Amino acid sequence: MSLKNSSSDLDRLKELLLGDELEALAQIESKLKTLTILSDNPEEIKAKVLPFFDEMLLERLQDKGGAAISLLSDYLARIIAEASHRNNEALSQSLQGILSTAVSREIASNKDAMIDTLYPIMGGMVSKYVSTAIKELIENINRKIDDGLSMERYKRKIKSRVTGVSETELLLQEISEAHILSLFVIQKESGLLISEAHWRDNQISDPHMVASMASAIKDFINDWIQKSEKQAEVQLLSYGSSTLYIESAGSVYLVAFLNAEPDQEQRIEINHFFASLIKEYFDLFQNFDGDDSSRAVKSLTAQIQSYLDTQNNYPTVQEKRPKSNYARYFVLLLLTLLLIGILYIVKDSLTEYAIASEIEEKTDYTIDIDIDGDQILAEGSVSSFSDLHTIEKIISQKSQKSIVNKMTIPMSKIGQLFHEKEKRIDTNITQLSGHIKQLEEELREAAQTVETLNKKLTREEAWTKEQKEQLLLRKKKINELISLKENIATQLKNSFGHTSYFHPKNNTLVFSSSEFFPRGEAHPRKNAWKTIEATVNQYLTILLGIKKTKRYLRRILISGHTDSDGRGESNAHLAKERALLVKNHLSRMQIIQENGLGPLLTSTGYASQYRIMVNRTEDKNASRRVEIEFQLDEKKLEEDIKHLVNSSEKMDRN
Amino acid sequence: MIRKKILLLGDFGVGKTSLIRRYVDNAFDDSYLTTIGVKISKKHLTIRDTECELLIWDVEGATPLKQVLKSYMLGASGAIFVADCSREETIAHLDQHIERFLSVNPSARYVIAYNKSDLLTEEQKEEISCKKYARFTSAKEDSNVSQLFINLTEKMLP
Repeated sequence: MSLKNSSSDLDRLKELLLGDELEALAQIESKLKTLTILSDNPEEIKAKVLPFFDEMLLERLQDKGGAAISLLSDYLARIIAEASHRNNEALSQSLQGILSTAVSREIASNKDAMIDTLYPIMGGMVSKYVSTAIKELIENINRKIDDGLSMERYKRKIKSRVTGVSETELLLQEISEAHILSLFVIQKESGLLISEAHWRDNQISDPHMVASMASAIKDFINDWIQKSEKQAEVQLLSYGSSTLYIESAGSVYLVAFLNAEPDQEQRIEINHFFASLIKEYFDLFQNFDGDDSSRAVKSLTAQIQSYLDTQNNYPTVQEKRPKSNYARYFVLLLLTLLLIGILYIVKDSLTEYAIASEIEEKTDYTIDIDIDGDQILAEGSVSSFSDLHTIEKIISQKSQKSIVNKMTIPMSKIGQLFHEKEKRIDTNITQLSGHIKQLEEELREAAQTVETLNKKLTREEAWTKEQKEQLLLRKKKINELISLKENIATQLKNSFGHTSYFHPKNNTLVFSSSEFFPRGEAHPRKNAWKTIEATVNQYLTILLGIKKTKRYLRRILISGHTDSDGRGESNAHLAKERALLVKNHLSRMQIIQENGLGPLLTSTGYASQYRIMVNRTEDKNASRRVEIEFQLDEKKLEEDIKHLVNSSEKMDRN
Repeated sequence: MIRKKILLLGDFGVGKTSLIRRYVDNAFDDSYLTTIGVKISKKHLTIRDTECELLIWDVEGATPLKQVLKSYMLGASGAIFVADCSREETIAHLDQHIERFLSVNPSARYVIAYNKSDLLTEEQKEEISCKKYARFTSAKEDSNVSQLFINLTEKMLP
């Protein structure tokens, strides 16, 4: 709506504000028509009339304020809009002073709340502008670098080509790469720690004290800065390589403990993160009362810990860039080959350095190492022989070359070392003597044990031998027993040959025919006894001469026989008589008595039961006879053989 | 765990540091005093089953020429105002300290310590008109020191 279209409103405004005055003015006008104009100068007239208007306007505003202000505010808004449309710059200039004062007052009275509200927006804006500025800075630096000439520049250039990272970024990376070790969110006024997070095991002992101290230091410095009339806050505190980066908002500030000064990119990152925290935890920061057990504090702690972990695991600029160019690989290969060549050339120097470094690290001695062909020269001063050996050992572990030891030990040290060595040797000798005594004792015991064992072994051997012999003997005995009967037969046969008195079939002596027993007679002929005695003597001598025969001799049977002539009863009597007579005769023989064979002599008569038939005709002379035979105790023999076999088997098993 | 920042305020030489030393066994090195004018100590205590930790700011004693920084007072939940009961002027200055502190922290709580009470006899003590929230203390004889801090903590807790 334009002012032209609102003439009726203006008229109404005039009426409201200046109704009475307009009436008076009309009266004055009519009066003026009649009055003589005293002056033609408009300024003089204005000066006389305007005070009246001012007074009247003031009265209107005071008396009829409600309606007038309401109407005015409506019009003022339109007037400002119109003025802004027509001449924006002029309006801005006119309002600038008023607005600046008003904003300053508001900020002064609600400083913290204003900062907290504005920080997320302002932080982002600032970051954006800073990023742009940094990019411009990088471009400028790149231009300047291009103009420069140095080896470093070419190295960086090659690296830049290979990795795809700009030289400026490499330059910035070379300066430092700071890592955030800890993050603290601290209440600004009280210095109370609201939340903390640490990278890995970089735990800060007593973080609440540290937070308070950091707060005190920051307050102290801020106070000093403000005394210098500079509206600023401390943002960076450094001590050695440790840096405290402080990002401050209205009610809290964030302290990042870093191992180096953060670069602009890191600061922007931290700013962004801090802004997001303020946005999310505005209420917590405003109302924190020292109680850190709330859920909000735990959530905040988890968030800053997560941020810290992400930050320190974030890949470097080089890692972010893809590497897929064959040319890069080729250049890398060339560089590697070049590096190998250089390494080959400086190999000895590197080895010397490596050995010297390791010696220094392990022994704290600075030893000059010089590789000369196949030799390593070690030169320096050490204070003990053991150190000397340690150093030699290190060198020999590092290189196969022969060592030329030019290391020295000061004379004062040598005397001391000699005494120490002497003491150690004495101690060692004492210890060794003890050990030797102990060893001697052990040896003595061992010798005794060996002797005992030898004796035992000898006994065992003897016993084994004896057992063996026993076994053989038993085997021999068994064989003897098994072949006893056969042996007797053989011996008898060999001894008697084909004499008529010995019958090899039954190993029997037979005395027959009329030479010995006349028909019907029990007594043998007188001259027959000599033959009988001699033959029996020979027979028994052979038997007794065979080992074991006597043990198993059960009886010596003397059987009497007759021819078939005569009656049976008389023949039976005759046969018994003949046998008995021979038995009685034999019992008186020396060989029988000396060998106690008397009880074994047994006589029996068979009459003509076993008469001798030749071609189906009885040889009566042959039938009249006495037979003498030995009988062995077969049962006993068998038992003994069994016993021997069993015991032999047992011995064999043993 | 509830943590509170408290301050010990008072004239130079009234025994603020001695009181803290008596009460606290864990303190930063004294060199901080000369550097930035404040030493911070920590004390853990349990009041009415509530775990508390006091971060005690031992601010360098005020002199007519050097006032305590207001920024040090900011955010404190409580304060112990200390006077040397053998020096009347330090008692007289207590009101100024309290006023200055409350102007920064209107809702903070405080207690008052008439320290070095071991230097006075019982009759001399009776002659001193004690202010509200005040008690006689002696860091030297460990008299009323713990009670002073406990009393303040009880006042600060909700």
